Amino acid sequence: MALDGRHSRPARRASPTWGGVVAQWLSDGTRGAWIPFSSWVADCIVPLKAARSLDRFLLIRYSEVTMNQSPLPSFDLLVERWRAEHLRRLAMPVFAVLSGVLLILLTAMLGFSLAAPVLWGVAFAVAALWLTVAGIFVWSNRRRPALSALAKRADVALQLPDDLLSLIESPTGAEEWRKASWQKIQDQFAKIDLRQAWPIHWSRLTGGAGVLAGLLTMAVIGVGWNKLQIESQRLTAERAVQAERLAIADAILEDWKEFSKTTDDPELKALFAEAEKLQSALQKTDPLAAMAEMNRLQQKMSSLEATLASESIASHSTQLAEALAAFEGMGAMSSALRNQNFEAAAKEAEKWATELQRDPQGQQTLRQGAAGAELLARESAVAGKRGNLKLSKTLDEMAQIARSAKGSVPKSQLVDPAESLRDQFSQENARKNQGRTAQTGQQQLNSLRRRLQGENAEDSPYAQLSQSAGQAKGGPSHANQEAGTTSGEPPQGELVNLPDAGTQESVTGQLGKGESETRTVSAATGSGTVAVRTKTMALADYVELSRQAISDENLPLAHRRVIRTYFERIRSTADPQTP
Amino acid sequence: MTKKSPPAAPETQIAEFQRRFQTLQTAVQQSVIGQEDVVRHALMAIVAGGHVLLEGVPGLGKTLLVKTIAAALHLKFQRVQFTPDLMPSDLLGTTLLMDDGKGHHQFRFEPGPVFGNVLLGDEINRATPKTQSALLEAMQEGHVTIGGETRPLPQPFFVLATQNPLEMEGTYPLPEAQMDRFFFQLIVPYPAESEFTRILELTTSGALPQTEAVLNGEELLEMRAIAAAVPATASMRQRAVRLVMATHPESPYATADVKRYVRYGASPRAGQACIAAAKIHAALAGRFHVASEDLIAVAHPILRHRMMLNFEAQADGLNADYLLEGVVASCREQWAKEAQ
Repeated sequence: MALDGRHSRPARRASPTWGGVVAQWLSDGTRGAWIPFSSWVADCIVPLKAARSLDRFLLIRYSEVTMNQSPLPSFDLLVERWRAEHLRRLAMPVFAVLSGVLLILLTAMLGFSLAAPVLWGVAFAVAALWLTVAGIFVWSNRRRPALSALAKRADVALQLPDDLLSLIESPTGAEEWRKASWQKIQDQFAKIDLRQAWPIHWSRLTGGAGVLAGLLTMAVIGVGWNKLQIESQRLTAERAVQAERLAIADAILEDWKEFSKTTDDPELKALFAEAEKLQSALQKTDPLAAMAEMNRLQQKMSSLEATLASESIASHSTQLAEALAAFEGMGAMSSALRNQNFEAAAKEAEKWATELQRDPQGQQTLRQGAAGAELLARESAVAGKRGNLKLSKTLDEMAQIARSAKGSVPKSQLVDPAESLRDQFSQENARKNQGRTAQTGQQQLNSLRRRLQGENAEDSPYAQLSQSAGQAKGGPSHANQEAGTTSGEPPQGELVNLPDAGTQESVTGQLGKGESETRTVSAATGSGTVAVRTKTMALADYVELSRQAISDENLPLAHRRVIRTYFERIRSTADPQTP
Repeated sequence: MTKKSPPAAPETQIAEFQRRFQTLQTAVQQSVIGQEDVVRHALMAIVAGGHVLLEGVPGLGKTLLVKTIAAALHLKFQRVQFTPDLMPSDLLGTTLLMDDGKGHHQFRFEPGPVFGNVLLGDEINRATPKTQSALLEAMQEGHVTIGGETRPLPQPFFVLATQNPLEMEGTYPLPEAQMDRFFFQLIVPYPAESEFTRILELTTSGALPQTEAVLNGEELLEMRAIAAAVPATASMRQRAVRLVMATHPESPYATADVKRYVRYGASPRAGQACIAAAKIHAALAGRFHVASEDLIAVAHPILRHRMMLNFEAQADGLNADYLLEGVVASCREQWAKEAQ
């Protein structure tokens, strides 16, 4: 390198352009590039010619525009040493911070159960951290030192008495002195190896911090990979279970949809048409929407049941049967009423009406005069209180007829009441069918809810939503026991523990067609409990209890419905006539 | 060679500067045994055109040193023994009524000893302040004003004064203004044992070496020009300023000791002296610029007599050199930090 005079800005080329720079670079890569621009990192870590070329390309403009010549002897080597020293100083705090962050991540991964997205986030964070570290190192290694800082540092490192600093700050008018000084320093540099004269010592602490950061990174990756595998397996199993549940739900809901198409009952048609909404909600795999839809549907079913119960005459059918027995030939109808077989009762009423119409001039004998009239009047009042005004009016009319009769009444007077009773019983039969359908729907809905919640209900989003919605654990079947139930000895007897029993409850039956059946299947080797008494044995007790409960007029009206519902549920499906 | 202008090449100039300085120092050291630092600093001050105050106990060769330097320089040497009854006119000169032999009388100025190249002011602190102050104009401006007429002094002009730090009775301490005009204050130490033996050998054998003039005034001025040409960069000037400011107790660069023990710090004239002396030091070291080392090397003789210590420092038995050690160490530390 020739003596060059002082470092100055002038010598600016006429409007240097990138095109010109590129052309010059292509023609002669070394011209004007007094900085080799291949840093220590590029030489040692990234020994790629491309990196060096790119480096030169990026900085060639700097060299040509800002300085026409080197401001210091062996400037490239001095810059390289300066950068290496700064890199060494930077390494320790950077590795320490990196190790700290990695330690926090590792602690979090070991201490907490993290979801797959979070684990992926950790992986990206680790990658970003290392990229940041690499970026910091590259940036540090690309920094162009200020000339004064470089000169001062080099003076100290090479034990030069401010030679380089004075060289770059040489005052105007001292050109000859600067040249002399330059020559002297250059001669001095020629005799020594700058890398040896300005050594860069990497401390053990820095190396230890780097190794620690590397080990922590491997630990974080290892732990994260392991947790990711476990999480992946869990999610796969959960998806399979969920798919199975949804398939079962689909089967039930398809049944409902089919029923809604085939039934003639407009209320039931409208109710079960809602199944389509529930199905679409389930397909969206949004637990919130599905549970909301189920709750809404269940509310509608409960509402329908409540309406039916309020209008029903089943609760006082026995008393009604006794009252109607005041007229002769009403035994079959009374018997049907006692058995709450309203379909049979309607047929008997039809028969009676037909018979009355056939002989309107005949006389209908009264078996109980005033007593029968009183019973009819009382039942009329009961029906009126329950809101069934039509039945109340019919019974009242019959009570008046019975009261005014003297042993018998003309049949023509009883035609209208008989037809009215027929209609009432038919409606009651329909209500009963509606109630059963709604009840079956509720049971299926509860079963569906339990299936969606899974075996481990606490882990299921449906179960969590149920709890958050304030519903009782286990579904609405428990809520139905809120009144008229006892917490005494279980009717099925003391439970016997099984080593590994699993119980599965299923609701059978087709909507609108007969009774539904709740079947409990206990695996012999399942975990849980099994009853020592059969369902039939327990049912006998409940039959008696239900009779008493249904016939007890002192029960509050609101509780009566619940009690009826409860006892209807335990009614044997084998003989629907017998509770 | 002495008639020629200084050579253009700095390398040659520096070499010539070193050669002349070495020649001068060798000549002086033939008569003055030991005291290399004192001799070297005294010659540096002379090259810089400054005045030197030599302080030491009697018998250490202060006067001999000055006489030898004067002899080696081939300059007009004047000696004044300062006493309490010395008057300014005895120093500067006076106007006398003279007879020209033709019956005409006229006033004629009779120059005093100050009109020489080298003025030895022996025991300068024994003169009254009035007489001491008579030197102020001469030392600073190179001329004197007598009877309303300003008269230039011959160049080069140096005052080499001595004072005894022990015998304080009947002395008049130099005022701060006077002290500030001395480029260096040099403490003449007691000679080492080997030097003492050599002194005895030379002075008792009756064969005292004769000092020959090895440098004339013109050559000395050339040396001064070479030294002045040595570049001092902005950083070095800034460091000189900080070095001087560090002697001021109110300065942010002052050390704790300076803040505690110093009443007044060095004047700006000390900064000028620092740069001038550092240039000579750099030239002697063969450097083509002033370095921090040069500033440090000349700090003590430049600053020690310019720092005014307070009573606490005197009570604690501290001197300026002790405080300057701290100042220099602090500056070194600060400059090292800048290089990180």
